[in-house]
Amino acid sequence: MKQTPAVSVQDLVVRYGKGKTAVRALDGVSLTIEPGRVFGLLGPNGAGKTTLVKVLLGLVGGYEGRAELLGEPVGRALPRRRVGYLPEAHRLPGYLTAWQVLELFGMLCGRERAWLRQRIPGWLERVGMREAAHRKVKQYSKGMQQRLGLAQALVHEPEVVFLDEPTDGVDPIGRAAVREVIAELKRKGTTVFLNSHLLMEVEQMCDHVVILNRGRILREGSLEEMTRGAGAVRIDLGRDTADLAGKLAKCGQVTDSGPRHVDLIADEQGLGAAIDKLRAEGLAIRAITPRKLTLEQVFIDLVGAQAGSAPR
Amino acid sequence: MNGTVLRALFIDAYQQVLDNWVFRILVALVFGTVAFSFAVGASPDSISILWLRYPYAELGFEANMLPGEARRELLQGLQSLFIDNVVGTFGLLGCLAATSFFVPQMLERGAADTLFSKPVSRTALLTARYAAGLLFVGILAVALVGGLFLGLKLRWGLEGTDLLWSAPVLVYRYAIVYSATVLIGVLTRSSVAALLGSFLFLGFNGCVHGAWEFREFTVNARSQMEASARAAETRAEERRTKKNEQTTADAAAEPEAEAVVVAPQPEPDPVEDAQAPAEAVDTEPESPPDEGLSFMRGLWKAVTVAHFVLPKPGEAPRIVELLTDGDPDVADARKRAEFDAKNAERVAKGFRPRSPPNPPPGDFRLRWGGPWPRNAYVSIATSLGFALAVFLAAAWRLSRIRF
Repeated sequence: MKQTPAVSVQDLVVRYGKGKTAVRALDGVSLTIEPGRVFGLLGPNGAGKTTLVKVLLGLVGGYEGRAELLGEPVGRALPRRRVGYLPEAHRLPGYLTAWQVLELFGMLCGRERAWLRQRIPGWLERVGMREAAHRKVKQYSKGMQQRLGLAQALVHEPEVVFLDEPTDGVDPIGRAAVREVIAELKRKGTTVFLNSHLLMEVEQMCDHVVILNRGRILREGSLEEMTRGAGAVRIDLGRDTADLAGKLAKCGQVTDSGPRHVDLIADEQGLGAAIDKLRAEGLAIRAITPRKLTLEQVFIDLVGAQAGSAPR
Repeated sequence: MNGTVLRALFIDAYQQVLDNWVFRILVALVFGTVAFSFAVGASPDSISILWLRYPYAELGFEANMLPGEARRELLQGLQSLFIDNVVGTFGLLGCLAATSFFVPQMLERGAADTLFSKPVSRTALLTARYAAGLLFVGILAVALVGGLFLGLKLRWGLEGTDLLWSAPVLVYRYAIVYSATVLIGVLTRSSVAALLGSFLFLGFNGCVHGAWEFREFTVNARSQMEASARAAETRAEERRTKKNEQTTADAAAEPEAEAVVVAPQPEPDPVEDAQAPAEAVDTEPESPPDEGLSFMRGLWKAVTVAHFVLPKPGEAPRIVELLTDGDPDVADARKRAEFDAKNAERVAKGFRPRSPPNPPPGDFRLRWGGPWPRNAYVSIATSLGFALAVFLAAAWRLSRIRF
C-alpha cells in the first residue's frame, strides 16, 4: 500500500504585492516528500524556502495550486498537531521558563500535561538546557533560545518537523547536539524538512535535497544523485606539467588543477578532447576517476548559472 | 479546541500577567489599600489603629460620632469616589498601559510564526490575549474590592455587599476599552501604537460623550428655563386676573362711585397659552440658511450617532449606583426620607432645619427602565456590542495576515 506523502505540493504559486509590483515568491513549485526522509531545502536569500514552509504550516494563505500536509489540505488544525516547527529567528515567550515553554507548546499541540511532564526532562537534557530549565527565557542567550526552540518543535513527538536554520547562533558543541537530535529523528522515521544555508550540515544530515531559486525548483533528488557530479572527473598524470588548466580550458570547466592533476567537468566529447590533447602533448595519463561534487559546488553551479538570467 | 489547549492558554495568560512589573506595582498598591482597611477600624464610639482603641470622647469629639448611618455613607462615598471613579479612571489607564503590548508582542515576527503554526485557531489565540488582559484587571479588581469588603466588614462592622458590584463593573469597563486596544494592536502590530492609540481612542470617546452630554444639558436647561418662565408668567397672569376680578367686584359693590370704570382684561385662553411656549421649545428658531449652522447641525448628528455607537465606560459608575442603590427615583425618595428624619431630629434638639439638597438639573441619570438615551440596558448593550464588533474586526484582520 502506498504511503501518504508527508508533504505534497502541486503548482504552488504565492504572490506578494499586487499589480505590477507583485513578486512571485513561489512560482509553480511541485514537490512530494515521502515520510521518513531528512529533506534539505536549499536556496539563496529570497528563493522562497521560508514561504514554502509557511504555506505548509498555514502561516501564509492566498496561494494558488494545491498543498497538502500528511494527506490533508494545509491550513487545517488536525495535521498541524503532528507537525513541529522551528522558525528562523524565532521568539519564545520571555515570561516563561524553558519548562513552561515546552509545556505550553506541547499542550497547544494537544498533548496532556502529564504526558509532557514525563518527556520534558529528556528533551531539556538532549538540547543541553537542563540546568536552565527553570530560568525565564528572557534571560537566555541566543544559542540557548535556539536550543529551546528546537526542543519546543519536537516535544510533542511530531511526524513531520520543519527546521529553519536550526543551528543558527549555536556553538559547535550545540551544533553537534542538534545534528545528533536530527540523526535520532531520522532513526525514528520522522520526516525532517531542513532549511539551512550551511551546506556542509545539509550534506551531513539530509538524504534528499531540493534547490530553489527565484521561487522555482532548480533541482531535486537524493544527495547521492546531486553530488554524483555528471561529467566531473580527476585526471592524474605521470609527471609534473605546467599550466594544465590552460591546456584543457577549451575542453570543459576546470574546477581545480595541480602539477600532476586536473579536475574537469565535461561531457563525453569534452573528456575525449581532453585525453587527445594530453596525449598529443606526450603526457602519460595514470588515471581518470569519476569525481563526487560537494553540495556547495552543485549549489553554486546551479544558482550561479541562473544569476545572469532575467529577473522575475 | 479541547480542555488541554484551553488550560495551556489560561496558564500562558496567567504567567504573562504575573511577569508584568506594572501588575506587581498595582498589586502592591492594592495590598497597601486593603492593609489600611484592616489596620484602621471604626465603630460608632471609637476608632482603632491595629490593636489600639481610641474612644472619640477621649479625642475631643462627639461620643457617638460615627453612627451606623454615617458609616454607611462613608462606605458609599468610598465606593463611588475611590473605586468607581479614581480606580476606574486612573487604574484603568494604568492597566491599559500595562497590557497594550500583549497583542503586538504576540504578532512580532518570530513569535507569531511559532505560535500560529500550532493547531490552534488565530481567533482562539487572540481571545487568549484578550482574556489575559481581563485576567490582569480581574485579579486586581477582585483583590481590591474583596479585600476592602473584608476589611470594612471585620474592622468597621459594615456589611458592604453592594461594594462587591464594583469588581465586575471595573472589569466590564476595562473590557470594552481593551477591545479597541486589541484592534489597534492587530492593525499596527506595534506596542507603542497600541498604547497611544488606546489613549487617543479613550480621549476621543470621552470628547464625543462629553459633547453629547453638554448638548443634552443645554437643551434640557433651556427647556427648564422656558418652563420656569412660563410658570412664572402663568402665576403673574393669575394674579392679574384675580386683581381685576377683585376690582370689578369692588366697583359693583360701590355703584355711586362710577368715576372710574376699569375695563376687564380679556380672559386668557389656557389652550393657546400652553401651546405657544411649547412651540418655542420644540421648533428651532427661524434663521436664514447658514453654512456654519448646517455644519453644526451635521456635527451634532454625527456626535449623536457616535454617542450611541461608541462604548460608554464613563457610565460604569452610574451602573454601579443602579446595582447598589436601585432606581434613582426610589433612591432619591429613600434619601429624602432619611434626610427628613435627620432634620426632624435636629429640630427636636433645637437646631435649625437644613435645607434639602437640590435635585439634579434635568433628568440625566441612567435608569434600568429609562428612555433609551438614558437606559442602562442600552448603555451596556451598545458598549458590549461595540467591544464585540471591534474584537471580531481584529480577529478577521488577524486571519488575513501573512506571517
